[in-house]
Order: sequence, then structure tokens, then C-alpha cells
Amino acid sequence: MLKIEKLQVHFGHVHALRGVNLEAARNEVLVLIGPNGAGKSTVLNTVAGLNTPTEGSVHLDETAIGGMTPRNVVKAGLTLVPQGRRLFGSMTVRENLEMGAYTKNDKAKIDDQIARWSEFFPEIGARLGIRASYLSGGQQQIVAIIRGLMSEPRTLMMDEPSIGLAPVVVKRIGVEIRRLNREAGIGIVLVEQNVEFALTVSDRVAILAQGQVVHTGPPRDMRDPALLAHHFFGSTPETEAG
Amino acid sequence: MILFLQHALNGISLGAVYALIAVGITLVYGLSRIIHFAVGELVMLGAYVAWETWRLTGSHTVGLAAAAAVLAVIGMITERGIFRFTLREPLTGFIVSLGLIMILQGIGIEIWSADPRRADPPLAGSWDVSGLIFRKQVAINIGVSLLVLLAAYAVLMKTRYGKAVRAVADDPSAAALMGVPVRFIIMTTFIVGAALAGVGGWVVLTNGSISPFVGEAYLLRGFAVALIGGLGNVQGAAVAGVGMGVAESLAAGYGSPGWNDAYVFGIVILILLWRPTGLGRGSSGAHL
Ligand SMILES: Nc1ncnc2c1ncn2[C@@H]1O[C@H](COP(=O)(O)OP(=O)(O)O)[C@@H](O)[C@H]1O
Ligand SMILES: [Mg+2]
Repeated sequence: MLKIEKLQVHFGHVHALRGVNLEAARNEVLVLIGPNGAGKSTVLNTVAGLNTPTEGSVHLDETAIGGMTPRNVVKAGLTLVPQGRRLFGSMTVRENLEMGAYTKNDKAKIDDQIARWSEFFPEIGARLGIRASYLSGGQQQIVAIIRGLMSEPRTLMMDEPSIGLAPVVVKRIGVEIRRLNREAGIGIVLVEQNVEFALTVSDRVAILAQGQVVHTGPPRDMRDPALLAHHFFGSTPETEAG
Repeated sequence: MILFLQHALNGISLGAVYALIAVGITLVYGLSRIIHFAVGELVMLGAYVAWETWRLTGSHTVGLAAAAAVLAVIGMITERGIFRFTLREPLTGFIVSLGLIMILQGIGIEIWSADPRRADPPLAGSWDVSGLIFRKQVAINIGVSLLVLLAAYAVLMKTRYGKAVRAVADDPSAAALMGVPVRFIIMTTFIVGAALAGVGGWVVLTNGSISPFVGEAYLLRGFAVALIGGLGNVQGAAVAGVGMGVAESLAAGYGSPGWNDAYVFGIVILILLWRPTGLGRGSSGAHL
């Protein structure tokens, strides 16, 4: 269980998160949606330890992980697959996956995991020795997700994994995400702009607008054009933060 | 032809030092984005540590080990005491390194005076291979430099630590998300860079005489080499270092001696105009 309470983040004068409350259970896929600049990435980055919150708390099960270094967050069992994949472009695919297991020391087990994922994604397995920057966007996204899984997280956060990908690849990633949750028991928190994708993959959705969670509910809520319009283009002006 | 080979050989031994220095510069820059100009002074300190150790023990081998070890400690002190506070503003780090040049040079003059010092050559004599004169010490120096460079390269490519260094150079935030202690890894590049400069200092000492001002020439050449190799590119720095040494030696051999630096830096400028980011692929690492 990931529990975020009253989380506030400032970037200089920008008040990016204004008291975010959010819970995500291990047995669900939670999708966080919201307009550009709402603070979705900031939520994930802060939980992962990249930003220091000015207020509020974050718990992963019993452990208080708010304000921890990224390294300790990973060790506590939570890993973020960042927006834009962020692979190590000059390193090989295999080295990228090894970096994902940086907090682990069991070399044999790491090799074993890489072999298992290679079987599962043969197109990745065939390219382990290639520089990551030479892969297609879809392949890079799959490597980014596997790299995140190499740390054996209890909860995996993903920031817009579908962005820039062909529909067939998006569909495949959606299937994999649900499988990870149902079969491997990994809690999933996903940030998405692609509402269609969010609908098919999620158990529950939360809408973030202007640094606050303004709505949580079942996926079908996203079928409600009035609700979406209200929170995406809605009544409150976007200029407030600037 | 013999003469050409002779110049080329001398050039390789010169270039090996440039390569050592440039690899340190490029590592530090690649991870911290700090242009560390005091590296010439680190070479100078390494040379004096080697000289003092030789006077004390009579051993150049101990001198080499001491130069690397003491400079590693100095590298750590400068990072902990100064550069870590400038990581968010690499330009400040650069200015600070300029100040450090003055301080370290001042310390050098204070302790050892401005008079040149030299050590007895560790290995006298030379081999004569059909007219090609090969000073034994030059062979040792090339061997030591090459060995150190190869070891650094192997560590970078093959070990867990080396992979973390490359990951931080590529993308520090992503590396942090993998659990890499980014600040610690950056600190180690200051240590390794200074130790490499220390080894360079030993080579400078065994090649001739040293003074507190010996760093300047190595600073300029080290940076030129790092730029040509592509800042952040370790292999590029190593190769460009040797190339620079050979070019310099040939220019000295065939051109008029007074124009030596002009020739060499003329070539550097032309290369950088043609390829502003150097001949190698630089580090594309994001900023901290
Ligand atoms: N590192 C940062 N420095 C300064 N401002 C930032 C930083 N990261 C995000 N912001 C600001 O915080 C707000 C939320 O951004 P973000 O979390 O990226 O939104 P989203 O992911 O929902 O599109 C924006 O106003 C953005 O400009
Ligand atoms: Mg975002």
C-alpha cells in the first residue's frame, strides 16, 4: 500500500503540489490523469525521492519514505520508470538492465532475470548487446519498464509509458502492466494523458488538477465528458501558478 | 624515416601524460559539468610528492605510488571541501578552480621555492634499435601510463562501479532512480582524476626537471586533448592525448622551435572549428 498524505512541493515560487492525498493498494492499477502541468510527474518524482517535499508524508506499507533519497526509496521497494524513458543511451541494453538492479548484489540472479525477460520479449533479448539509443521508441519503453522491474519493486510507478508509441505497442504494454499486477502482485501507479489507454489498463483513476487530487473513482468516470471537461479545461484558470 | 620515428616515439611518451590528465578532466567534467582548471597544479603536486618520496626513500616506485595516493586524498579534500558546493553551479566551480591554481602554486613556491628540481633518472641508458634511440625511462613511462589508462578503461567498462560512472554521465536523475548514490560517484571522479594527475606528475618528474610552474603547459594541453576527444569521452581523451604528443613532437622536430606551441594550438583550433564538440562523441549527460 502506497499512501500519500498532504504532500506539498515548491519549485522556487511555483507551488507545484498543494496537498496531494492519494492511496494505491498492491492489488490495483491506479491511473493518475490530469492536464499538462497539473503536477503528475512531480507527484511521482517526489515519491521516488527526486524532489524534497515541503510538507506531507509518504508511506510504503509501514515505511515512511517521504524525503528519502532515491536510493533508499528503491531499497524500500518502490521504483519509478520516469517520463521519457531516460535510458542510458551510451550503454548497452544489457548494461541498462544491470543498472536497474544496482541495489542488488546477486550477479547470478541478475543474469537469470535478464535471461527470463529476454525470453519474454524476444526482440529485446536479441538486442542486449546494442546501445540503448539505437532501439525504437517502443523497444526503449519496454527496456525502461524491465529496467524498473530489475530492482524487484513491490510497487512500480510509471510516468506516461504510452507517450509517442504506436497503438499496437501501447496495447501490448497495457496487457503487460495488468499481468504484472495480477500475476506478479506488483502494485502499479501510472500517470497517463492517453485516456483510452488509462481506461483499458486501470482499476481506479485519480484526477490531478493544479497540484491537487480533485477526483477519484472507477475507470468508467472517464466516460463522463462533463467531469473530464470540468477538470481538464474547467472552471479554475490555469494561470494561477505562473 | 628514422628521425620521423624518433620524433613520433618521443611524442607518444609526451602524449601519454596528456592522456592521463585529459582522462581525469573528462571524467570530472562528464559527471559534474565542472571545468576543473587546477588539474595542472595537481600534476605539479604529484611531481613534488614523487620527488620528496624519492629523496626520502630513494625509490621511484614508491614515489609513483605516493604520488597517486596523496593526490587521490587531495582530490577528495577539494571535492568535499569545495567542489561539492558548486555542483548546482558548474560555472562557479570553474572560477573556484582558477582560484585554486593560485593557491596551490603559492603553496608550491612556499614549500619548494621557484627553483627547478630534478631526480636521478630511475633508469639510465637507452636501447639502440637500428638507429632508433629508445631511452629506457621513456619506455617505462609509456608503459606505466598505458597500463594506468588501460586499467581505468577496464574499470569503466567492466565493473559495477564503472557502469555507475557511465550511467551518471549519461543521466544523473535516471541513475539516481536506479539507486546509484550520484553524489558519491561524482566525488570518486575527483579522486580518480587527481590520482591520474598524480601519476602524470611522476612521469613529468622522471622525464626532466620540475618547478611550481610546470602545471601550466599540462593544463592547456590536457584541456585541448579533452576537447578534441570530446568532453566526457574517456577513450577519445586517451587517443587524442597520444595524437597531441606526437603532433607536438613532430612540430618541434621539423618546425622552428619557437613556434612549437603556435603549431600545436593552431591545429587544435582548426580541429575545434571543424568539429566544435571534438572528434569523439562527448557525454550527453543531463545537468544535475
Ligand atoms: N524541476 C522543476 N523545477 C521547476 N519547476 C518544475 C520542475 N518540475 C516541474 N515543475 C513545474 O511544476 C508544475 C508541474 O509540472 P509536472 O509535474 O511536470 O506536470 P505534469 O507531469 O502533470 O505535466 C509545472 O508548473 C512545472 O513547470
Ligand atoms: Mg509529466
